[in-house]
Amino acid sequence: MDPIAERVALNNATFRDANEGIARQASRSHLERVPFVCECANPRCMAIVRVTLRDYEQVRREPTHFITVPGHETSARGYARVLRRGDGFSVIEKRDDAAQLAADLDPRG
Amino acid sequence: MTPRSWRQIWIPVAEPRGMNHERARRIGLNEAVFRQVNEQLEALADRFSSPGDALDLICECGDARCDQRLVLSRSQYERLRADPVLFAVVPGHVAPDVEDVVGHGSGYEVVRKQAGLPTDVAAATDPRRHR
Repeated sequence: MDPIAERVALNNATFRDANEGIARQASRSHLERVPFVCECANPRCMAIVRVTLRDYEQVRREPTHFITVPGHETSARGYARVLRRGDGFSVIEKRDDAAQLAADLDPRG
Repeated sequence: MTPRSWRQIWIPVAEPRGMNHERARRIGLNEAVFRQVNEQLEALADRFSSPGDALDLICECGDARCDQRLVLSRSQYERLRADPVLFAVVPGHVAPDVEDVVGHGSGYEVVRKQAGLPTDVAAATDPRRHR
């Protein structure tokens, strides 16, 4: 596996794990838009994306899909493409080797 | 924690200063989410940043729309989290009917939840309690 693809997928998966903890807490709240950590591949990114739990759950249904700040998909170095843009966030899909590893690391998988 | 035990925890012990129960519960649960975000940001910083780097956190006030950021050192943040009823907010973001300002740092204030429902919710949602 390309080491860049591996690094991209591992970073994405780490941010996804963090957001799963946030989602569990948010499910008990009345927040309309929940602050999640950007799930881009840049390990130093600590940006926040505000997303409804419904949108979040929709993204989590696909193990190769992630939520990022718009524009942060470039940190995936070609191993991601933008699927759609929402209000202040983008949904990206991992590609090639990064997609396989992202699926393997899916905590819901 | 099961939903049943959550309901049990939310029974108030006392009512501080004319507090509205639903408002107090809502603020408490919002702040619990923001605290959880900061716990995750700290964990990510532990993994990806240098040990001496400050933590780039979010305001833990009860306003659902607040998107302001706070910067705390790790030691400041750990002192805050050592007490489950303390939260860090941007100066002025205190909700005086449910919490009191008990300290301040550069660019943030520390608030303590008042006795009764605010304290109960803060303690029950403390992620470190379950570690």
